[in-house]
Amino acid sequence: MRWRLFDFLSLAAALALVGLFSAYAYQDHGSGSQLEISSPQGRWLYPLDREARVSIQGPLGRTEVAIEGGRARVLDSPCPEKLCIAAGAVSLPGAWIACLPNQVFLRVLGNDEKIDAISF
Amino acid sequence: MRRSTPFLSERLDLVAFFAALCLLLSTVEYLIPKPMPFLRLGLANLPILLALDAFPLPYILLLILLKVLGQGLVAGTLFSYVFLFSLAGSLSSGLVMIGSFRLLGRSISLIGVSVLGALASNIAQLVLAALLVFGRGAWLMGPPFLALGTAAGLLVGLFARKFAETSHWLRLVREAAR
Repeated sequence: MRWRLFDFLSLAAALALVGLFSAYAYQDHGSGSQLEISSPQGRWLYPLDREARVSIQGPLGRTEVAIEGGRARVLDSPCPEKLCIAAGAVSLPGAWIACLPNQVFLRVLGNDEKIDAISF
Repeated sequence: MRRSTPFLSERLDLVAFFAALCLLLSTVEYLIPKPMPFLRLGLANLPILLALDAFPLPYILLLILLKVLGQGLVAGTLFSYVFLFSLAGSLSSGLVMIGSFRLLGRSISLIGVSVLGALASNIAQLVLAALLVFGRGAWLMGPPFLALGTAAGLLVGLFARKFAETSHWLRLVREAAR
């Protein structure tokens, strides 16, 4: 059973794609996590390891966000339920806080998005 | 006298038989333990590989559709979102296999066709997973998924090539279906 030209090429292409994919999927996206803040006005990135106070304008008013000690939390928001404040602080990549009434969304971006559990 | 219908009943019988083989092989595949639910050997692609140079195009497409429906029935996923993955995977790999087999002619064999088919199926499912279910996290499982898929495609392709070259039965099928 002799391999033909495109048998080799197909296999090589598949392996190359696996390599490329690994390089892309497991690359280092820079050190440290970032906090992504989205609102109707736009989208901002803040490094989580630097202290900051951010005030985001939403349809209801201003949502105050604090970044300190590698964690981010909502200090104040003009929403009725205050669920975003009650959500506490987030630090791990993938964690998020949403203030739906004021349309402000906080999400931690990072390169170690670990899978919590696998079930099947 | 030739009948005007494009589908000849003898070919249809053979397609039905090949589809039944797909079903059987999908079931057999459940016997093989898997470390992850989505890592599949793709034994059910064997009849499709063998059908590539036995049937005219419309029959091959019909066979692929029957395979997807049959697998959905056997696995009980026909009416769940899992079926979308199966459909996307089978259709894309089917089209890639047909395309590479016809376009590359004698410079490719069932080995390469199978590897390309596995690749197409896995990429389609990864894209679907990223779009529908897991988001960006899907790319993290991409490399092992693609690597194991390539290995599985290679194994199935090697077997298909060997079978296609030596099977007396398949030669009879080719003559009957052509």
